[in-house]
Amino acid sequence: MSNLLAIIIRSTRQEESRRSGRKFRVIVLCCSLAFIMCGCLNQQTTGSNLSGHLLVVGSTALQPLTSAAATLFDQLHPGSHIVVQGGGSLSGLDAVTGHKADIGDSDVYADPAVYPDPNLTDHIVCVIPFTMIVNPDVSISSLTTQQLIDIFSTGKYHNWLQLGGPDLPIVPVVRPGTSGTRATFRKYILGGRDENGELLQTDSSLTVRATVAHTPGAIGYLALSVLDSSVKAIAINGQMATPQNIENGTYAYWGYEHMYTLGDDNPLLAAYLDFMLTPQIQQLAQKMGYIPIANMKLPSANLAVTEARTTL
Amino acid sequence: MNQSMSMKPQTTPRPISSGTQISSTRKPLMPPSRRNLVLDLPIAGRLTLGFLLAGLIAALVAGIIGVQRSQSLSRQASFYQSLLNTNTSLTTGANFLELMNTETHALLTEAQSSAPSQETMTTDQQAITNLTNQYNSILTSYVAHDLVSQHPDQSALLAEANRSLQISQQQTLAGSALRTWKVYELSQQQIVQDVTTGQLQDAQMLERAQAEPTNADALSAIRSLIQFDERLASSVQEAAQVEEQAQIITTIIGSVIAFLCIALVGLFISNTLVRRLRYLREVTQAVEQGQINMRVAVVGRDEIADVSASVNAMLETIVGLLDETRSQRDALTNAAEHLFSEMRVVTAGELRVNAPEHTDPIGMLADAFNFTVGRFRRFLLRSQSTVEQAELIARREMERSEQFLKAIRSVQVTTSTATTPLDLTSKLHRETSVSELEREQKQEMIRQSILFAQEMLSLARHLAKVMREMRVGIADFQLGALPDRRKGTQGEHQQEFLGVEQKTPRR
Repeated sequence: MSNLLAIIIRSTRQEESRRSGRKFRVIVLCCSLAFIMCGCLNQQTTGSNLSGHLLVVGSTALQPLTSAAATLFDQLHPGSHIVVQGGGSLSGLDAVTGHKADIGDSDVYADPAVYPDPNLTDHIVCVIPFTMIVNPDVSISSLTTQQLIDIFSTGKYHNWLQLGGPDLPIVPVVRPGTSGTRATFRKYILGGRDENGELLQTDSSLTVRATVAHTPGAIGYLALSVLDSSVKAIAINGQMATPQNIENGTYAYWGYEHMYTLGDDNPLLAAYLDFMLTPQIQQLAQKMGYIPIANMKLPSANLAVTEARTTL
Repeated sequence: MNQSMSMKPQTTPRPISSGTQISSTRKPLMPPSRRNLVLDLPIAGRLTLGFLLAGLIAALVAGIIGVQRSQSLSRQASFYQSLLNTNTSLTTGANFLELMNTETHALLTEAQSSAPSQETMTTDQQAITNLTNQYNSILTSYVAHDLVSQHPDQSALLAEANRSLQISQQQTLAGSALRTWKVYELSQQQIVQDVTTGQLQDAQMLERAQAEPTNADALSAIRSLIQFDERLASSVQEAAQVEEQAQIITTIIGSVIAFLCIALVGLFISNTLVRRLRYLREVTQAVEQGQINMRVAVVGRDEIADVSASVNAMLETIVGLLDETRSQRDALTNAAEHLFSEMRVVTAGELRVNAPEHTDPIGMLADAFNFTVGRFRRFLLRSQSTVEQAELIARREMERSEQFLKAIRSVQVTTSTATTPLDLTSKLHRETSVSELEREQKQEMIRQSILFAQEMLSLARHLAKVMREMRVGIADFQLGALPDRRKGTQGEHQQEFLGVEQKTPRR
């Protein structure tokens, strides 16, 4: 400011040499204006020096994305170090509420009765589509919600022949209770009904995939992100688990991916959570089989439920 | 200064030469500029205008800053208010969710009891339906009206805090709340339906397996939505900080612009005064240095124009006075030259001249000169007559001396003829018997008389000669019969000479 004042004073002294002085003065004033602007802009572009450690624990369905994002984030901010661990959605929630981890990844909502901490904050980072898979021997390509209920819950169907398929016994593959995929399946497909079938001991999408691939007549469910050609994906109510179907609400078997934190006042934590929502990571998520959160419109959530209501 | 230098060539005045007329080439120093309406205003009005303009600019800038500030404040306030409102309604909604769960439990318990009260069950069902409707309306109105994405100012505020992501985050959370709510609503309706149809087993199973978890999900989702409002509040605070910074920048830029504008206005106003005053000064300085044909250009109708006009008028008057003085001086010079030429005539001896008389100083001088010449002429005339008389006397004396000399000589001759020969002596001896001594005495006396007569003669001659010369000298002056009005001052030397000559005969 004193600099500016001096310039202005000098410029007014130039008033004696009028014409040339006027030009000079205009230039000086422009320069001083630019100087002020630069000063103001400088104030804004300071302080993005993040450092520290973050521990991310939880959902195996979300793990591929969080790991990739952590690597990219560490590259962007050399001072930071983000560790990603699996273990399942509920263990992630336990870890974050027990102050053992900074972020708990989860496929399911944190039950306020189980995790009453008011600071527990939900960050929805993306949508994970799930799909029904069958052994490649099964020639069925689509099942209705009712047929799925009858297969998994009531046991009404026990041979694929009943559904117009090959003469093979139906082997439902059921995941353990810690699985977010299973919880979502129960809530959104079975309408809360119990499952009856071959219960797996470990909750892993890969185990499900391998079991279904090797068991003739097997049917299971997994996240779209771990789907490969060893198993066959089938449609629900004639709708495949495509992003379009989920976005327009005609496919109900999907879940939000949550990242739970205890508040986000830590700048590194906030930066990482924001980073998860950047277009870069969202596009990466799309490539990995997730659906970017921006694609999920409000009406789709409504539609998916009204559709589910009609099926019940 | 450059400007004035550049205009000098056009208006360089000729140096004033004494005899020539100057009024024909009067040039204004300042070129007549284009008509300027501001110059028609009096200075006081112009200054007032300048101050008003400056004040207006300052007020405008201050007003803009104030309006910006109050706008941002009101935007923040309305954001906070809507946050508060939605937070309250969402919290109420969360309570409704919990109540629904409780009511469902109560309904089931009542239905399972040994003697179920139909009335209580109906009340419970009524309560559940009420709560469901209310929660539905809360959620739908929230989604329909209270999302940030439906409020452009709130979105703009978030964008300022660089938190545009939160708009979609809120939508996502609202979507998740809606989804979980719908799932719970379904199971709840199923339970109520099962209870009314008596399928208590199914209802209980559904309650445990589906309704409670989905209720928890819905609660969790609505809580995240409530929590998200807090994050929005902190974002608004950040936005407020950003806006404050922007306001500081605006204030600085506004002040600089206001300063510039005010300075320009001041410069403009002062230019209309200072420049013309400088021209006025240049003109007066030029006049000081003798270039009295310089004139100030009269532009506008203000006080400076008045002063310029009166300076011009003053200069005109001065030039007129100067011209008059010059003509008077010329007339005096002519009169003096005339007088001088007449004095020359006097020097040449002409005393009949008479200088023409005027009422001016030269006329008085001429009068004095005439008087002096008149006195001098009278004096000369008297001297002339005196000299003529003296000459006449001298001539008479000369003749008498000559006659006396002749008489003496004849006496001498008679005496010597009687004495010089023998008979003279004898005769003397004889006639008178005068002694020799007596005769000798006589002869001596005669000789003496002759000498005296000769001396007298020569003296008279000399006197006559001198008188004649004087007469001739006086006659050189032409003492005509003109009246006694002559002039001439120059001839002191001659006067002295004359005085000397005049004294000589008197002595």
